[in-house]
Amino acid sequence: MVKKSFYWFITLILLIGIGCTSEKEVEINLPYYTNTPVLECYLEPGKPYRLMAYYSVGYFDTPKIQQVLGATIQIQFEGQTINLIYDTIPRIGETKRYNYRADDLTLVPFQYNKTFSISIVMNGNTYTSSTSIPTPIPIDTCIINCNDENRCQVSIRFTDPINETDYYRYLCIKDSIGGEVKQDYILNDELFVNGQAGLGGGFSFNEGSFSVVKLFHINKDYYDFLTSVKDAQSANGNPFAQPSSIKSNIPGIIGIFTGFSVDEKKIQTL
Amino acid sequence: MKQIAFLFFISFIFVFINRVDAQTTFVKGTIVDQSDSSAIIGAIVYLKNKHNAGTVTNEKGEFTLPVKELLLNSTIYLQSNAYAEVTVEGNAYRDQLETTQMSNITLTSKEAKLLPALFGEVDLLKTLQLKPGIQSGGEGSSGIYVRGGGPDQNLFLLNNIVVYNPSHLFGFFSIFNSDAVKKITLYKGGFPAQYGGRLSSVIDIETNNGSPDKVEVTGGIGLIASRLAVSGPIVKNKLWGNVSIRRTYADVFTRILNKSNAQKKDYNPIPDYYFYDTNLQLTYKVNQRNSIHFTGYLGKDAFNFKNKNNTIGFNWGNSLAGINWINTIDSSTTLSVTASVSDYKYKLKNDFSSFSFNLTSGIRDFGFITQVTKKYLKHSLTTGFQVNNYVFNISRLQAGSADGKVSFASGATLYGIGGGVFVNDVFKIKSRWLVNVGLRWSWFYKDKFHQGIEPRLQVNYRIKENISIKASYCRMFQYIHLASNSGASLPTDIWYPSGNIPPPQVSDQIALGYELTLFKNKLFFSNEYYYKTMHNLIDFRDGAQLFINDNLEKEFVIGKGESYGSEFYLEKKQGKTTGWIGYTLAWTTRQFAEINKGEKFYARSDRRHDISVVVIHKLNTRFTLSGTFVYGSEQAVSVPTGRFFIQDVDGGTPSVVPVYTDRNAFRLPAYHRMDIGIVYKLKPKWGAADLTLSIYNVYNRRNTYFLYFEEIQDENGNPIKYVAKQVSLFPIIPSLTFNFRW
Repeated sequence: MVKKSFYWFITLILLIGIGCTSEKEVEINLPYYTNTPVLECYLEPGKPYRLMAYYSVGYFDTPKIQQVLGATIQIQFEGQTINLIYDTIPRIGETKRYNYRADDLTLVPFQYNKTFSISIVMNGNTYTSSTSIPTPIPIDTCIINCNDENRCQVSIRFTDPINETDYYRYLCIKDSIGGEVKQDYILNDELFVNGQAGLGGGFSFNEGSFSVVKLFHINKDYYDFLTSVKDAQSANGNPFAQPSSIKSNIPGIIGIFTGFSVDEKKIQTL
Repeated sequence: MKQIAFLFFISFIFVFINRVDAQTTFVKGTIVDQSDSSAIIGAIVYLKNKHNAGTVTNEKGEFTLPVKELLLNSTIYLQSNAYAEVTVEGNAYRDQLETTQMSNITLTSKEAKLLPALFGEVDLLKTLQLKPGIQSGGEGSSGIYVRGGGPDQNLFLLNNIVVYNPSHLFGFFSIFNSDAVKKITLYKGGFPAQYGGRLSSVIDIETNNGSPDKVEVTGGIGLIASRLAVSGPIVKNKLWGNVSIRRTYADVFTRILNKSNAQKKDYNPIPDYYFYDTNLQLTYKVNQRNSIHFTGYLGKDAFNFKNKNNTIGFNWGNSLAGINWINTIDSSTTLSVTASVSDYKYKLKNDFSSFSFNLTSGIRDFGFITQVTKKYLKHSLTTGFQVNNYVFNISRLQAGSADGKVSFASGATLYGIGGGVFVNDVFKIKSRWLVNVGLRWSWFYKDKFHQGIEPRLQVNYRIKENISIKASYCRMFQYIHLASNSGASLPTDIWYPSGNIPPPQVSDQIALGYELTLFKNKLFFSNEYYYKTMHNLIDFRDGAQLFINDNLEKEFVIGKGESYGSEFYLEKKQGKTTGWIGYTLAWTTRQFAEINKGEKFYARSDRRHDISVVVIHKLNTRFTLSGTFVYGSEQAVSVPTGRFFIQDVDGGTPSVVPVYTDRNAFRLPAYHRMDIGIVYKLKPKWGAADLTLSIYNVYNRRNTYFLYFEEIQDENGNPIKYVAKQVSLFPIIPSLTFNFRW
């Protein structure tokens, strides 16, 4: 017992010594920040045209979303113009908030690799961008491994098209009210050999629980935007990281206008 | 009366003190007749109360008197036709004032051992950080930034063998065991022509060779590591060496704890971590003119973690070996030939369930350097050449599922070859001017041939016996680069060669300064002004993927930088109280087209003021007290000034995204810290021993390691406000080390 206590004591000293960090709240004065419009618009086949437009703010400003008002927003596709008007009423089944949308019957078509354009006019300035929807990549199989502690690991296999550079986002979500995201990977296909692709994570689920896996086939613009967002977030609190600016695909403002296709499967870990 | 007469008679006594190793010092001198300058032959020379340990002047009147310790201002007795005593007023700074070399620092292991150290681990690189012009890489870090240069711009040489990662534990300790190292010389500028390959500094580490005729065992037991070194003859006066080992032992305790708790269901094992260093130095004296020296080093950091589902192994380390042949061709000519291999690699292995992941990166350098030094009447000429053959292993990845259905693979092996031809001449112009002029032609080939002419010039104008004015200019080329965007010494930082991209980095530095001694050579003062420009500096584009990326060329951005400032240094080496005060006033900027909208910005290492005060006081024969104080004004960092909220796609998690605007536009609070140390010499029946108490950060200053911003939420998870938080690393840390010598 004494011996054990001694080892604990030594380990404690070592851990105190090596990991003896402390943190405290401090008051600092940041340089002046000019609020900038932010826009998120995702085109998913079969879903309405909708987006969220608001402003970025100074870091210590009041945590309240400042919406963009009075903007004129249009999306063009194959000669058709879709007007998005200010409308904040949530629709049944929607899990996200939008403040500009087209009518509910005008849906994003199942048209892949064709150009969609957007123009946003606000405060006398016009911002434009374009995107397309990549072809769907289906999940071939879902694999579940459970250990002897009744914890399960979920992974998927899919076929990555050879001879082109593809970008993916993989989400593995606990199927519950909270919808906790267990894995969120953004990647390109440089590491996949001969089109064999697999993604998965740790033992995150209890045996018998339900989960949803989503495989997004995304554009490079969205890949760059997402990685820059992750980099910026990880630079906050990481003394070894370099700061990263956000890679917007709408010149002049912060934002992303992108299309994607998604395949999802709901599975039970057994 | 007779004695006084003799004192006049031998009015010219030229004495200088030459320190050969940590124990033996030689007092050399010449005794001549004042009236006709003829040599006094056969005069007996001895130290007070050491009649048996004296010597006799030779036919030129010269004598060499071995003494056990460096004794300045002590009394030497002479006995010839008459008996006399002379107080030797040695000038410890004579060499410094005489040489053309400026912008250099020499530090011995013995000096460093007197100073307080973090966790009691004496670290020569951290002691170097207390000198002007050299900044640390952060709290507790052994990484160094020299005159605005980056951490990859320092050339570490262990007996002429390049060391590619001089750090343990993410930079908190250097790999140089104080028992294995004799001294370190750091050049901040005015580089001699035989040195090349890095822009900002050369850190030349000389190991402890051991004694040819005496066995010695030294060691120490500290809070986190222990050391043992054995040196001495294998064949007396023919073959001798020094072997030293240092190892941390936290893992011993964590393994026992993990084992004793293995049966507990909810127990999370503590990861194993340790590092070790092994040094071997052998000297073989072939004959009076030839000797062969072998240097070996093997060191490793190991981090291991294992639980039921996951096994992680992360190892990194250096392996070095080199053989050096020194041939004294004649009394004025020396040939030195060194062949070496230096290898650094890291290996990351992760097995989880049916997947495995194995990543390796590294560099291997086969080096050959030959150098001839020839002394003429008025010239001292050094010339030679070197060749290095490099193998770069970039992100060798193997990953996949156990059934083989999914596999990832990446990685590249790159080859490069480089070298240099150099010539250096030191000569006197009249009595007060000493000039050191050098030229180096360097080259490198990987896909593309790069080459550069590197002129070097140093001038010393001796105004008076105790005052010198010095100036220098040097150009340096750097052909291999450390791919790191962390600003710290991480083991995953990898070396990458110049090819089509990136081009070699180039620096030009001019320095002007003066050095003088005060109060009868008791104090030394120097003041230098420098200006350095750097071209083709590398950085990485925003969001660059450096980890698991075998094609870094598309990630580089190329820019320039400049650094300028002034360094003040006051030192006292003699007496019971010794130490120094250093002050640096400096500016360091960078400019890249792709960063900060192309505008110039301050480098992270930019600090306007740096002050260091070091005091060592020998209280009595048993107690030595020491104290250090450092102050660094606000360091430049990047912080987000704005934020926005991203709600993401269906299924994604909404989150706050920081917006970074200007690079390094914010300043952290000033850094300051005081450490104290006490060395108490024990009186064992065998050899010598001491207890060293170090108290790091004695007034418990919580210096800012980094800042981060946090969202404060209410009980429903809604954001209320955003705040800044400061993270500090080391509070007051006392440590005790037992050192012995037998």
